Amino acid sequence: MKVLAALLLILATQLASAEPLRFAPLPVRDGETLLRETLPLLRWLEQRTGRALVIVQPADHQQLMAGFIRGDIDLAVLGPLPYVMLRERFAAAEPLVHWLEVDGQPHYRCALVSFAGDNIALSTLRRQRIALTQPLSTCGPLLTDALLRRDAGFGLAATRAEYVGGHDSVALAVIAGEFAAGGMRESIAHEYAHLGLRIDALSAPVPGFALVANSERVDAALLSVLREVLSAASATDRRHWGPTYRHGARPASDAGYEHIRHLIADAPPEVRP
Amino acid sequence: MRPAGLRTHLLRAAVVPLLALAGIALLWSFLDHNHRRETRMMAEQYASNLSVAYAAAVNLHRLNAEAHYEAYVTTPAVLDLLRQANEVDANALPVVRGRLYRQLLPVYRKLRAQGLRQLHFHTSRSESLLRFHRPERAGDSIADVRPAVRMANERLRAVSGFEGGRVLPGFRYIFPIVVDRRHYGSVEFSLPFEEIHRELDRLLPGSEIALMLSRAVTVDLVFAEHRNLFSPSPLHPELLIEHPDVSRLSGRLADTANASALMEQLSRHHAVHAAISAGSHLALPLIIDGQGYLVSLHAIRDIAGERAGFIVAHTQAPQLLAARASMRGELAIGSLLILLCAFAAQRLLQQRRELRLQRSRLQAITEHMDQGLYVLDAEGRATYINGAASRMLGYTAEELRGEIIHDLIHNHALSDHMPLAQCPAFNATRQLESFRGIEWFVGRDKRLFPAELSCRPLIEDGVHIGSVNLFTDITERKAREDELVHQATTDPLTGLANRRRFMLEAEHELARVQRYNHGESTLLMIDLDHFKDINDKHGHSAGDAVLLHLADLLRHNLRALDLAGRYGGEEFVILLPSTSADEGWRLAERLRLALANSPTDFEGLSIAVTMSIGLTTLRAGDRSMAAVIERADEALYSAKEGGRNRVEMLAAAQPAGTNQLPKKP
Repeated sequence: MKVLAALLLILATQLASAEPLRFAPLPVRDGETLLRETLPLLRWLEQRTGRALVIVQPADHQQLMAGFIRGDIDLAVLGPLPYVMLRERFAAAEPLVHWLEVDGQPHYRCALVSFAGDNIALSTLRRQRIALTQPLSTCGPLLTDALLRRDAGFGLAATRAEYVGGHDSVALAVIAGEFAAGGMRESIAHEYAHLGLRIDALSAPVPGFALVANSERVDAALLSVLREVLSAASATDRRHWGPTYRHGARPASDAGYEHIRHLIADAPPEVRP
Repeated sequence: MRPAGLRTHLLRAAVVPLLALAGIALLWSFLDHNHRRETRMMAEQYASNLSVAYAAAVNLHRLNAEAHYEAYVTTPAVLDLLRQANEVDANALPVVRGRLYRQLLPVYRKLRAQGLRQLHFHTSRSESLLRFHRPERAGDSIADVRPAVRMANERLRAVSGFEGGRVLPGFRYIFPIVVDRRHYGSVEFSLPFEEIHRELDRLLPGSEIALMLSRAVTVDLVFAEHRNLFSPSPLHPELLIEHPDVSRLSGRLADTANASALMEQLSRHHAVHAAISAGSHLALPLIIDGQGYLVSLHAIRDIAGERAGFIVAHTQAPQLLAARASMRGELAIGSLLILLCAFAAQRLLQQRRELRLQRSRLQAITEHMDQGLYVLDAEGRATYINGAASRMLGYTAEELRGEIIHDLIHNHALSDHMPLAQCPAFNATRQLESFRGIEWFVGRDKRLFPAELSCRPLIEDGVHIGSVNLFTDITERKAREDELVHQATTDPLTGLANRRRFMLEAEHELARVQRYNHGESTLLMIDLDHFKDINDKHGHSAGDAVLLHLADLLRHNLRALDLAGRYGGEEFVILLPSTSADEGWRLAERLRLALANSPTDFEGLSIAVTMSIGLTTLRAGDRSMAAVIERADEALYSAKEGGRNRVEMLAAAQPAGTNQLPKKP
C-alpha cells in the first residue's frame, strides 16, 4: 500500500500541471442537482490525483456520446445502455468502475411508477401518456417497454410515450399529474415516495452506472489511479458525494454488459436504440 | 571662517529652506487631509446609495412575496390540502404532499421564471413539508437551523430577511398559515441574491455587487452535500461566496484583471479586515493601477440579528482620479509658490545682510574719516551726519538730523543769512549737478571757519532725492596760504609791498584809470640820498635801520588805500590812487620833510638822512606801468640832479591842457 501511495503521489505531482479532465455526469437529472451531487466527488478526485477536473453538461445522451467520441469529454458517467451503444461506436470507451447502489450492489433495477393518489392500474395505461427519460437511457424505452409487455400485456407502442429528460423529471412529471406513469430507476423513484410516487413494476437487475473513460485521452496510469482510488474510497470520503456516487464503486469491465446486449437484441424495432 | 562662524552661517542659510520644506509639508498635509475627506465623502455617498438601494430591493421583494402569498397560498384548494397534511396519518401524507405539489407546480414554475429560488411549506412544528426546489427532500426538522421559520410558527406573524438554510442561504419571506384559528404551518418564498442583485443593478448602474457570507449561515447550516457549493471569497477567507459554477455573480467578482487587482488590494486592506471583524459597514475610496474605485461593504444581519455577511459593491470612479490630480496640481503650484517665496526671502535676507554689512562698513569709514559728511534729503533736511562733521560743527548728529542744516551752519561770504533756495550748493544738487567750492560755515559756538565743500546729488530714477556733502575745515590751510601770499608780496625787511606785488597792484590801478578814463593817480619814486655812505660808515645794520625808519614813516603818513613798496635797495615807490599830482606833490613834500627832520636812532647814534622823490601821474594814455615807472625814475633823477632832498615831477605825455604840473614850492 505504501508503494502504491508513493506512486499515486508521484503521478499526482506529474499531472498537476496538465489540462483539466472534463467530467460529464449522467445527463438524466436536472443541471443544478447534477452539479450539487458531482462537485464534491470532483474536488475529492482532484486532491487524490492532483489533476483538475471540470464539469461539462451535455443536454442528453446523444450529445454526451458525440462529445465523448469527438474527444471533448474525458470521463463520463453512463448507464449500461448508453455505454453499450457508445462502445459499439467507440472502442476506446473503457469502463473504470461501477457506482454501487444504496444496497451496495453494482447493479440496479428499472421501475414503472405512477402517483398513488391517482390509483392507476397498469392495464389502463393503453393510450395514456408515459414519461420516459431519454432514448438511450437504460430505464428509458428499452426497459419500460419490457416492463409494460411483461406486466400490462402491451408494449410502449400502445401508449403515448414522451421523453422528459432525467429520472427526477419523470418522477415529478408523474407526481404533477402530467403523465399517468413513467419509467425510471428504482433508487430514484424511492426518493420521491414521500410525494406519493408509487412503484408499480420492477425490472431484473442491470449493471450499475459506470465511470467510463476515453482511453485515447486519459493515459493508462491515470486510468489505473482513478480505478484504484474510487474503488478504495471510504465511507468518510464519500459522505458528501451525491446519491449516485455516495455508496461506493467497484471495478468494472466490458464483460458485465452482455445482458444489456441481449435485451437490445430482443427488443421490438420501435424501441431498439 | 572660524568653525563657530561657519556654523552660524550654515544655520542662517538653512533657516529659509527648512521653513520652505516645513511649509510644503504643511501644505501637503492640509491638501492630503482635504483630499482624503473629499474622497471619503464620495465613498460614503456611494455606501449610502448602496444601503438605500439594498433596503429598497429587499422591501420590494417583500411586497411581491405578500402578493404571492395572498394570490396563491390562501386559496381554498391549497388551504384544504394543508389542513389534510395536518390531519392525515403518515401513510396518507405522501399523497397529500404530492397533491399539494401538483396544485402549486404551475405557480412555482411561474415564480421560478420570475426569479424565485425556493418555495417551501413547513409544518406547524417547523418541519419541512414540501420543498418545491428540492421536492425529494422533506420531513426533516428545520427548527434549529431556521430560526425565522420557528419565529413565524411560534409568533404567528410574517418574518422576512436574510437567513441561511439547509440548501442555500437567501432572502426569506415567511408567512404563517392560520385558518379559523388553526395553525397549519407556514410557507416561505425565498429569493437568491441574484434577485436582490437585479434590483441593485437597476438602482446602482455601473456597480459590481457581490454577496459574501459568513460560515455560520452557509457551510455550518446546509446539507452536507451542499457544502462544496461555497468557496472562500477573494476578500477574506472567513467570507464565502456561492461557487462560481452555481452563481454567475460569483464568477464576476474577479473576471477581469482590474477586478482581480481590486479584490487583491481589498483583501490586504486593514480597514476591510477591521470592518469584517467588527461586522460594520465600510466605505472606501481606492485607486489601483490608475483606476479609481468606490468600494462599499454593507454589513447584513440575518433575521435573528446575527452577522450574516456583507454585500460588497464597487464602481469605477474617475472622479477620484480627478480629485487626486487636482490635489497634486494644487500641491505642485503651492509648493512652487512656497519655493519662489523662499527663494525671494532668501535673496532679500541675503541682500539685507549685505546691505547691513555695507552700511556697517560705510559707517565705519564715514565715522573715521577726517572730512565732515552730511546727507540731505530733497528738502535740505539732514538725514545723516558723520562724527567729523559733528565735531567740526559742534552739534550732535541727533541735533542736526531732520533739520534744515543750511540755516544752521552755512554762512555765505560772511554775509547775512541767505535762504536755502538761494544756496548755490543746494541749487546745484537740485539741478543734478555737483558743486565744489570754499564756503564759510559757522559752528555752534558761532565760530566761523572756511570749509572746502563738495556736494554731489543723490538721484533715483532720474529724480533728485537729496545730496551727499563733504566738507573740510580749511582754517589752518587758509592761514598758511595767506602767510605764503604775504611772504611772496612783502619786503622782508621793511614789511612794505615788494616790487612784484607793487607792480601787480599798480597795473590794476592803471587798468582802472584806463577803464574809467577820468581822474588820476599819482606815483612817487623815492631814493635815499647818500645811503651808500651810511652803509659804509655805520654798517649795513645801520642802513637797515634807516630803511625801517623810512618804512615806518611811510606807514604812518599814508592812507589805507595808498600802497608803499620797496622797489629795490634804498628805492621805494608809492602809489596814490585817485590822487592828483598836486595832492601827490604835497604828500611827497611832507614825507621829505618828515624824514629830513627825524634822524634815525641806531645804537646811540642819530643818523640824519634825506631822500629825493620823483613824481608822476598815471594816465589813461600810459601803455604800461613800465612807462610810468620810467617817467617817475626820470623825475627822481632830476631831483638827484637838482641837489637831492627835493621833489621833482615829470608829467606824462598828455594831450595839451591835460598835463598841468604843479608849481615847485
